[in-house]
Amino acid sequence: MTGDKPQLTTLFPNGVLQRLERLRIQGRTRRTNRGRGEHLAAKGGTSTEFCDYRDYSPGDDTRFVDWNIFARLHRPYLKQFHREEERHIVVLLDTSQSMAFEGKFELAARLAASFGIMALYNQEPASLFVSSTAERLGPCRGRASLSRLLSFVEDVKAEGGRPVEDAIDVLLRRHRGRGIAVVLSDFLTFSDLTRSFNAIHAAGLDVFGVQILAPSEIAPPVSGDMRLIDSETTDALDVSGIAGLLELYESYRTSFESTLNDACVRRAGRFLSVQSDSSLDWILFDLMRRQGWIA
Amino acid sequence: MLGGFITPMAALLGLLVLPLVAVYFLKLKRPRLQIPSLALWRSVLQDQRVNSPFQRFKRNILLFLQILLLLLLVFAAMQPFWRGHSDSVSRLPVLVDVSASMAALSGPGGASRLDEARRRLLALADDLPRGQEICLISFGRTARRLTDFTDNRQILREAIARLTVTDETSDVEDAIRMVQALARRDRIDEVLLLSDGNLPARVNADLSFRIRYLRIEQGGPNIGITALGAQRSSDGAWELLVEVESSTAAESGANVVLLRNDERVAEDHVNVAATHGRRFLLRVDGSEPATAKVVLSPDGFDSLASDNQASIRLPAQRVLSAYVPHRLHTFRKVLKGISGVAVLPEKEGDAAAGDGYDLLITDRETDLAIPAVTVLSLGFVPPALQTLATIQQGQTQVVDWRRDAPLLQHVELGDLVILDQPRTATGVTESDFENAGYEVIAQGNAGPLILQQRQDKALRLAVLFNPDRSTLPYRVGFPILAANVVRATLDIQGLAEVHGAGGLLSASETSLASVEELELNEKLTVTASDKDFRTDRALWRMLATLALLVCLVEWWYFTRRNG
Repeated sequence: MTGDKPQLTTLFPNGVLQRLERLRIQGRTRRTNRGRGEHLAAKGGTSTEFCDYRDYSPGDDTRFVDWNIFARLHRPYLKQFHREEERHIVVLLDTSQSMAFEGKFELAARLAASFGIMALYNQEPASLFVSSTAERLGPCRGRASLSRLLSFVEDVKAEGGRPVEDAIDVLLRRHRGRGIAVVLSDFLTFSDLTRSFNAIHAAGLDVFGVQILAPSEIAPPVSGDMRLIDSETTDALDVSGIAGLLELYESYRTSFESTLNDACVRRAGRFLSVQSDSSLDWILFDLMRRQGWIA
Repeated sequence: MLGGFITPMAALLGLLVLPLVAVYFLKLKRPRLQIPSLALWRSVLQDQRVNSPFQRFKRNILLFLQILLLLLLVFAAMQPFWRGHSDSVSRLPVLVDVSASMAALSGPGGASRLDEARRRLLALADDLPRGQEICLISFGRTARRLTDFTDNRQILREAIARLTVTDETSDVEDAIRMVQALARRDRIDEVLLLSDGNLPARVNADLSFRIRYLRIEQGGPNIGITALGAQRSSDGAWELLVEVESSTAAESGANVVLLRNDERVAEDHVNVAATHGRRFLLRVDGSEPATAKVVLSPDGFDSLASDNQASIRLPAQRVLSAYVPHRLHTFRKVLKGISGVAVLPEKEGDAAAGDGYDLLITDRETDLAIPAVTVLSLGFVPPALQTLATIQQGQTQVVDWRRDAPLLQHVELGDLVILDQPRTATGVTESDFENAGYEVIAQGNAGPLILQQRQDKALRLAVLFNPDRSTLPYRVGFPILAANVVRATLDIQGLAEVHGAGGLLSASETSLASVEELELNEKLTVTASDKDFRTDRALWRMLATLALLVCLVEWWYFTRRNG
């Protein structure tokens, strides 16, 4: 037995890793940093990809004059090329207590690692933020940072603490650079997340929201009179005849989902809601690809 | 007032609602469930509270059902009642007619009037509210008290079950007098009378209470025998006079069969309507004693069976024995001319028979020791009246006489000359003779001339003057008088005429006629009511039943919700 290659990470099999190498995150707008990266910036640059012509102005570099056009028109025109700039991939991993249910955090951690890997393999700076501890990885670049990224994610735990909106504030205070902010959370907070999404967008980051919900949050197995306890705040809520409220709950949940989707899309972002028992392969290589998240 | 509560203080039990509510909320055990976040649930409940007020009720529907159950039980404990016809009657005598007409059926296979009365009485007993008592009295010709005042339903039901029809005519006076006697001891405001209305319309009574007359619907059509009598004919046979009547205006027919000692003797068919009864004669051999029975078989439905048979005992023909001393030769001569009379003693001086005679005519007080059914004393005052009258010398005349008296029928006493003068003692009046048991049937100008005393199977006639000392033997009336004495004796012995003993024989009961009003005195008339009489109606049973239903609903809701 020649032996299989050892797993690089406990988060997912090597096969997933191999597939991730070939994928890249698709943004909806070109918001990038001034640093040179692999994404074409909207402004003119010094790359080899022709962009447009403009009139020659005294002092311009004569190396970029198109002599063929000069020969025809007897007037100098300068070639312009696309500017190559950096796009930051910032991943915020919600580790609040509400994520510690039915595999939500585990899936979030896998997705966080996946986005980080795609960023690294595409020479994009990747940062990872942990909501509860405000721990931060990065920004790191290139394949050399892969093991650091995977170790970091493997060590993160859902320990509760800071709600996601507060974590976003902390992230924005510490992060510099434009790009995409991938927020992996259940977004079940009492606060209005619109303000937080606005702040992310104002900071030059497109909001990619991934809501992860447990099966029991999609279809709560409740009946009769119950006392519901909030895992984060430990508040209690007495509900009677709860079975009769499930339809209303479902309506609220889908409405909330729709609200989150609107908030993300309006800020040049994307939104997706998945169940924690869904497979990572399906989410990444089927759902996200179909929806244009990755290519 | 429509109603009230017998025990209003039971409303205090309503305070139990406080511990009920407390226990309900304390006892409410909710399973705990830790969920990721209450964010969505709070929004859901907020929406539910704002948009659906009924939801709050629905959450506590079990509590509301339990409160409703408690309220129903408290209400039942307060014993509410619906006011009946009576105004707080605590003691109610109930008079039930059990005369013959109460056996009349409503239709073929139907219930009798008494069955209907029983049904109403049972309903009355079952609905008896607390504090009310009933005394049950049945009446036909006479009244009979079946229970004391009681609210014990078992006793009342048993007494009601024992009610049976008697083959008697109805007379409510005796029952009313019984209630009047009860009213002297207990306060009685109202009396309930249950009858089919076949009663005398006039009741001779002054009342200290109200009568509520509840009339039971009449029975179906009835045809029956209302009279049966027998008369000896001249050839010694019996002539039976039968009268048949009907209760309906439409003519109805019936077969009449005559049985003599249970042997069919004669048969006839009659058609009768209420407007006209039917009388007819049937002949029966009278040589030997016999029992004659007349049986009626109506063609169609007949509601009352007790008037379809009547019987009469017919004695054998025999000679009437009359003891007349030879010295009373005028009477002996006249009696010998009447057939069927043996005038004794045949020979003067023969002793009187020890076993007695049918008729004794004597002018001596010592002969009164001879046993006889009818005694005609002549010329002396009977021992029982000797302190009331005497016979003196002198002439007297007949002032007046009772022409309907058996002795004096068709006897003319006017202008009769009497040489004896019976004289009433000083201070004695006619009522003194009545108190002695005698009735004056002929009055002279100084005192009574002829008196009669009726006993059950005997007749005493006292002629206080000697007929031989009057012009009476010379009159046509004398043999008539003698024949009257013989006839009266024959009647008493049942040798000449017999009236039926067996069977209902009541025109009023057979007619089933119902009176609408009872006239009690000149000022008071009681009108019949066809509606059921209701005492105060207890409502606690209904409330208890409702409470049970609420309990069942609560059980169903509770198990359905947890299922």
